This record gives sequence, C-alpha cells and structure tokens, in this order.
Amino acid sequence: MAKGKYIFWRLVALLLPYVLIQGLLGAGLISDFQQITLMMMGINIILAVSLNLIVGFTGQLALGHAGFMAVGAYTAAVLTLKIHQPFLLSLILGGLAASLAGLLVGLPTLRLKGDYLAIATLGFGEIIRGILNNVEYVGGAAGLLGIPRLTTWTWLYGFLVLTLLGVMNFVNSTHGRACLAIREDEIAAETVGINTTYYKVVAFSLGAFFAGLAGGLYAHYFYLIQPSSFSFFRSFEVLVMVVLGGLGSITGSVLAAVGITLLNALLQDLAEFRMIIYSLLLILVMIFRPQGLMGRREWSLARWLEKRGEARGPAGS
Amino acid sequence: MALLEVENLSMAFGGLMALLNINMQVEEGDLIGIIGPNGAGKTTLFNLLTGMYRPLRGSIRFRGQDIVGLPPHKITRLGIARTFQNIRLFGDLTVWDNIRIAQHWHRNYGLGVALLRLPPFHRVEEEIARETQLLLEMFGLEPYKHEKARNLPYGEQRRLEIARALAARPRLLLLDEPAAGMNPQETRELMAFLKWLKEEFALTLLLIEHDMSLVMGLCQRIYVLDYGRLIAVGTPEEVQNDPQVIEAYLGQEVNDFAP
Repeated sequence: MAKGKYIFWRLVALLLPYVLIQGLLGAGLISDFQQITLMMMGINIILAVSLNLIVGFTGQLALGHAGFMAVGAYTAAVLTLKIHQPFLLSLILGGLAASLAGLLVGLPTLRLKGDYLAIATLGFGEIIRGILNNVEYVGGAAGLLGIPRLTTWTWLYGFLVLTLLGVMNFVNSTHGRACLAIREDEIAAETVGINTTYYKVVAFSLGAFFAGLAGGLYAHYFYLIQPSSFSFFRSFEVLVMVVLGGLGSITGSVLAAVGITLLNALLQDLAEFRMIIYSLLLILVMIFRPQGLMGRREWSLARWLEKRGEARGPAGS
Repeated sequence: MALLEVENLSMAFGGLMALLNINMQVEEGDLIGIIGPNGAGKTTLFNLLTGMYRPLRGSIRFRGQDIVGLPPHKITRLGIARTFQNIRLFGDLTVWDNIRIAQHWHRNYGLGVALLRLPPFHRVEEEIARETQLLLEMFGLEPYKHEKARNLPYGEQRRLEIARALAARPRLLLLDEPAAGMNPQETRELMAFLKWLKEEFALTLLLIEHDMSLVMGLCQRIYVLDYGRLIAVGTPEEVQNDPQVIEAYLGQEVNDFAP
C-alpha cells in the first residue's frame, strides 16, 4: 500500500469524528444532554486508557484513579479561577500535579511486590478526598464553584487524541515493552536488565498525568467540582471500563468507555442501580469473556486498509 | 584477574544454612559445572550471583567489581545473564518481543523520543529488529517468531530463554538445568549446542545440571555441592573419583540403580 494513501486515511480517521460532531454541534443538532454524554465519553476514554497503562500493560493494580483526577481537576480549576492562568497551562500543570502525586504514592509502594499498590492507592484516593473536604480555600465539601466553562469539544478532542497517541507511542516503544515484560514476569524482566521499579513508577505517573488532564477537562466543563465527584466509585467505574474492554487493549478501553458512558446516560434515572449493574456486568464478563471485549488485541488502521485492499483486488492497485 | 571470584559466600533462610563458605574462581572462557543432590544450594548460588538474594556473608567480584548488594538489573548490565530451572519467559508476548525486550538496556532511546516518535526511535527500532532477526535465525526460532512464547514446544522454550539471555549481551551465562526434561538424544544435541554457543558468543558458562553425561562430557571443571557445602572441585575424573562425592552423590545413585 502506498504510504501517501495510508497517511491520508490516517488523517481521515483522526479528523472525521471531530469534524462530524463539530458540524452537528454547530448546526444545533445535539441536545445539551447528549453533549454532556459526549464530553463524559471523551473524559472517560482518557481515564480508562491511562488506567489501562498501569493495570493492563504494566500489571499493577491501582484503585485510586479518581484521586489523580481530583488532583488534576482542583489544580487546574484553582489556576484558572483564582490565579487567572491560561486554560492550556492550567490543564498541563494539573496533569503534572497529578503525576507528582503519582510519584509520591508510587515510589514507596511500587518497590514492593503484591497488593500493596492496590491498598496504597485506595487509601490515597480517600485521603485526597478527605483533604479537599477540609480545605476552605477550595470550598471544602461544597466544592469549587464558578469554574469558567472552557472545555469545548475542540479542546477535549485535541487532548483525547494526544492521550491516545501518547499511550500508543509509549506502549509500542522499548519503554512500553519493558512494562509488558514486568506484567509478564517481573523476575525475568529484572534478569534481562530492566529496572523494574523505575518502569513501574514511570507507567504509574504517566497514567496519573493523563488522569489529571481528564480531571482538568472535567472541571472546566461542569463549572463545579466537589470532593464527592471523585469518590472510590469513580475509580471503580474506570477500572470496570478497563477490565471490560480488555486489560492491555487501548481499543478495548475506548470501546468500553464509550459503552459505559452511554449506559450511564441511559440509566440516569436509576442511578442507585448503577453499581449493581456494573457488578453484574463484571461477573458476566468474568464468566463469558474473562479476557475482556478485545483481550489484548488492537484495531489497526493499516491492517484494516490492507484487508479492504485485498477484498477489492490485488494490492497496490 | 578472574572473571568471577566468590569468597566465603554464605546464605541462610531462617535458621537453615543454604550455603556455607563457598569459594569459586571462574576464568574467562571457562565451562564449569555445578552439581549436587536436590536442595544442595545450586540454584541459591545462582540467585546470589545474579543479585536476587543478598548473601549473609562473603563477597562476589565480577571483573574485579564487588557486586554484592547490586539489584539484578545492574548485575545483568555488568555482564551476567541467566536462565531458570522452571523456564521464565514473557509467556503472553511473542517470541519476537521476548528477544526485543532483552536488548532493552543496551539499545534504547529516551522517554521523550518514545512519546513523540522522534527520529532516533525508528533508527534504534531498526537495529533492534535486525539483531532480533539474527538471533532468531541462529537459534532456529525464526519460524516461531510471531507465536506466543507460551505456545512453543518445550525444547524451543528452553532455546528461546537462552537466546533471550544472550540478547542481554552477557559475558558470563548461568544455565540452570538446561537438560531438564530432555531424552538422551536431545541431551547429546544440547551438548553440541552449548559448545557452539560458547565459541560463537565468546562466553563463559556456568551450568547447573543433574544429567551426569552432560556435565562429565562438557565441563572442564566441576563444583560439587552437598547440604550447602562445597565438597569437591576438580576435573570430571577427579570429581568422579572423590570418595566424598561418591558418598554424597554418585554413590547414592549407583546404589539406587543397583539390581
């Protein structure tokens, strides 16, 4: 297949969803409710893909993704609302703050093997919430109000693409492969010369960075953030997406994030039942498709084009 | 200067002395066997040499440098690689990836280059691919390159593990029971393979083995361990005729198989 053609299709795949939805938004064909769902979809994709990097690709069970999201959300919101910094800068600083928090939690716990990380991150998420509940500067339990609504579809889509490209590039590099090796067999990874602690920390704080970005985007879409928006249930929700989509499949995380967000929107009136439905969903997946929707496979544009080319006749025509 | 010098190395698990005052001297190019009954401390010795355990006492010097207390990945980078008794591959990854990963410490680029796919990425990845292809061809694993490591036949898994260890560019290779589970024919092939390996990669080999025909036929020098103690060192003939060894090890076997 010609390289030019591939790049062309790549651009189409990249821009099509953006242009389509931007057009619909411009034409006023998307209701407010649908718009909220759409934005949550984007945010959830970023969260799920970033958590997959930690849980699915590096094999470290982390239960505090909402905590990193909160750090990013509050940092970015304080920066734009109280210190009047530009949006982009605030978002990135929010991501960096989350990543720093990841480093602080990860450094002591990731040297240990076993379930310490799960427990430490669980605690971390709750501690963050406890702190936010008690700091008057960020509104305590009432939360931060009046955050400027700066997150547009364009910003969201831009960061979504950046996250996906970043994670894909990472996973398909020597660094990402080092993480895969750790997931497969930590001892063997060490004996081929991989600094396993370093890579666990890198994957962990990179995942936290993207979660922080998602938090910043979230805060600047909903005007209001409260500590209760970042409870354990949100961490759990993201984990469900990752497991459902397939541990170690970016495509799977994207699909599952879209699916769960839609489900949430449909179950709006049955919010109390959501946890029950998630649990049922998880049990069903464990029984019938333990590897998740996609397992570890990815959808690839190049492969898709190749198949399409074969179906139409000799390649290269 | 010896390649590897071990002095008074001791290790205990709880109150059990797993190794007691072990002394070893390995020169560049040696092919050395370590034998002993089950539980003699052979694998423990490997775990100490590769930094997986920290010894109770004693020193380990590799190329003149004290390596006690270094983490395993640093020891690998200095030039010691190993295989495991119960093969440890990256099972769900392809054969290709298993070899690629082991080049990690000597062929790499920065994190920024990876995230942004800057030009060095493609250059280094190409080098990695070339070396991977070369190693797979040398080890006859080319046909399996897209297979998951766990799906390989047993013998190929053993070979892949050795190929992976070599991708990490060792000078000293530690093999933990490479002939385990092989029939006499396969063991003979393995013997030829190990000789070839040693010459081709200019390696020093240290191998733990239960198969006496392999050890006696291959190794220049043999260390015999029993209950954590070094009871004999010498050429195959010397060791075979050592009364202590016969009593501790060979003697036992002779009795077992006596009609």
